[in-house]
Amino acid sequence: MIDFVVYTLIFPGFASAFFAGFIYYGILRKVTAHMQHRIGPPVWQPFLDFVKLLAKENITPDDSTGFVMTLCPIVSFASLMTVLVFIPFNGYALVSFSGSILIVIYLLVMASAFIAIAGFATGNPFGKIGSVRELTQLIAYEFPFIVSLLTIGFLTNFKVSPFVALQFPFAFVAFVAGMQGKFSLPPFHIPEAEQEIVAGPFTEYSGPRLAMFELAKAASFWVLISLGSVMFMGASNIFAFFINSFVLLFAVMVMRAVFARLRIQQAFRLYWFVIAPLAIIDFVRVLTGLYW
Amino acid sequence: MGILSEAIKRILERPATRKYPKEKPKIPEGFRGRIEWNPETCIFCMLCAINCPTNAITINKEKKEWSIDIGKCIFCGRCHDVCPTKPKSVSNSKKYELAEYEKEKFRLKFRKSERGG
Amino acid sequence: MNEFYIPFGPQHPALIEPVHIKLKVDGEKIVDSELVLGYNHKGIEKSFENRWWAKGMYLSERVCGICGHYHTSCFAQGVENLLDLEIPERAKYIRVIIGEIERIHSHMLALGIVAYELGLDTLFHYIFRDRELAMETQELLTGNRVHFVMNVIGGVRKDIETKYFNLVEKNMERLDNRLHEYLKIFKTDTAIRKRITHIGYLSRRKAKELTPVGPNIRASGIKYDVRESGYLVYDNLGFKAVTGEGGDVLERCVVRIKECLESVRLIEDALVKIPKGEISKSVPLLLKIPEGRETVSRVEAPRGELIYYLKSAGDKPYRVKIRTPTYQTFTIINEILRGYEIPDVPVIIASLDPCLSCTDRLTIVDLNTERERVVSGDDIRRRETL
Repeated sequence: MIDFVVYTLIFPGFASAFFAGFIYYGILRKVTAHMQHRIGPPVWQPFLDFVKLLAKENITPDDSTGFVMTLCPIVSFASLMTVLVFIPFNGYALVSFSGSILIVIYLLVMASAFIAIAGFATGNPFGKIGSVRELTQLIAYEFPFIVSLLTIGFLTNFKVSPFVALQFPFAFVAFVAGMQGKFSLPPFHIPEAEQEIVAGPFTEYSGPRLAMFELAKAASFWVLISLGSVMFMGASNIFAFFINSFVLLFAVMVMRAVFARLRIQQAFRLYWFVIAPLAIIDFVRVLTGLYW
Repeated sequence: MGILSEAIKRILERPATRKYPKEKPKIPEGFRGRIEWNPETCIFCMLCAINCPTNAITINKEKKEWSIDIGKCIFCGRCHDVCPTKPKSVSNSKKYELAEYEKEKFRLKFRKSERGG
Repeated sequence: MNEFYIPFGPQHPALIEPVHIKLKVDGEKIVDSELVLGYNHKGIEKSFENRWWAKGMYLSERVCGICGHYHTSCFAQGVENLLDLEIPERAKYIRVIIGEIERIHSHMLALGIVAYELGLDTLFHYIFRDRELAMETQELLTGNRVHFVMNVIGGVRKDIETKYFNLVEKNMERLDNRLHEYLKIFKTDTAIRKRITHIGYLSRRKAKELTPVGPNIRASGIKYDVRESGYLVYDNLGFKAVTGEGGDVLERCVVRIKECLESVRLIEDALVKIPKGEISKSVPLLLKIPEGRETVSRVEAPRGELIYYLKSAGDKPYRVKIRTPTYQTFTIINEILRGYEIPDVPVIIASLDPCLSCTDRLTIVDLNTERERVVSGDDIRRRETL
């Protein structure tokens, strides 16, 4: 029982997702700032933003559905938190059964889909365009992302468990690309392109609701990077886990720093015609046993 | 890939930006900051007041008063250019942090006292 | 057909200037566009008319924050034309040097904005960092980062001291290196090229028909540059206009970078050739020009040809008419937006390097009758008519 409480509330559950997620995001912003040759915000800046937003007013525009607007960030955050149950940290997962990868995939889609629903709920034209883009992008990156997870799944009995994916570099590439799409970071920051559609789905969001979305975003950093470092880089203990996490985080940073935003059609084409075939190569290799 | 190599190179370098209020920028010679008035040499010829493009400078000849509204001043230095005295009694200083909470504080008034101070 | 209007501006995160473009879109495709100006009217042309000539200089500098030196150069040149005054050679060189530095920082600003619209913040920050070299040089030479007040009627206000020449040359050399780097990045980076090649295309024929000015027309292959006429000392410096071929967003960026390189060369050349001597002819403080005299003065500002029309009313202008380059360039906005998609709009607009502060004109729309009319000077004087 105490085990369960510690696992869900402290590590790797809520508290870790809260702190580590925000710290990851802070590090991401800080190091990207240095790459851009500027000082950048302090590492704890996302916390400050979060606390500030909590103290602000919730604004519900006339055209929007307030209930859905409140619900979406909570569901998004909750589904990401649930993923943590299946990820083995230090070699131990709270829930571990054959087929848990499928549930993880499902929960991760939930997290993104509710962002899109939030955009529709606000009733703002920019929010709607942002949501359409979010969904289009979801369709684009989800296929290679799922294929890459299933590639590993075939070898781990569809269970989220430590695995070193050295033989499957293409699956790893597909995973990282999908991860970048899920974070909406360059070159896939299409749904939130501020120069085109202000803030996309989050345009009308303010106050505690936006804070919840920030929290969900931080949680997605923690969850997806943890997933990658366990499933693809084989972290079986805490030490390896954090090293792997930072390597992944660095990859995310570099991509964020050097890529321009793609157009939505270009992103779609990139995912389906470049990354998906790569992922399928590895998938086919697993199915046919052509790996060493 | 030009951007990538530069981005990696910059990670450990000192950033190009500065934390301004803590770290002051270097002010070059000839910087045009707040206008300062030297009562020693001023002859109250009114040239600076007449030529000021925004009428920021006002002079009261009787009271020997020289005043400037920093809120109106555009720091063009024309008052300095037209000043006939030697050394010039109106000139740009290097002061640049001029923000105030109240508009009244922009209206600076100087008076030439008998002792000349 | 499912066509509807979406607004671009006047408040839009992409372009932090108050321009309003009504886009008629079919899905994501732009069918038609309409430009709405009038959010930023400052009444400057009118204000000239109750200022002395010498004070007008300071007002003309405030038309634009980025190309202020060109506005004063143009105004001063016009007044000198009216007076039949030939300014000293050294003053001409100084005007060219300061102007070309201003051109560099203006073009780099435009490039930075294009990078920002592409969602490539890193390049934006690099370009703005290197733009700082030009800004520092300006501050060193003139005493201010913007609004240099270098020009006075009859010459320049302040001499460039020889001890700074080394520093300026060093800065120019560094800028030269960096600009070559950016030229390479814009020409080779796939992520950038994917977004900006064949976007916002303006053919040579259309350019001739619609006549934008500045880098926007030169990128379409038409050599139109006022500096070619050799005003000030551009013919001594062997100026060569830069032209491009493509006519798309990429080509406009490339032309801007090449112009910056040409400017660097001009500055380095001018620092060598600059003669000794006085820097300004003395003109009376209260300048009197015979009434009714008029002139047209033009210079090549960073955004293109800038024209001032001046008519004298004695100690003040009777009329000052400013034709800013962006106003002329906006003729092509429909042509280069039509047929492209919403994500391209910010990039295309940014590639024009619009300066709304210079451009805006006042139009009054009567909401009851939806009748538009342009307000004349008399109307502004008589407030009750508004």
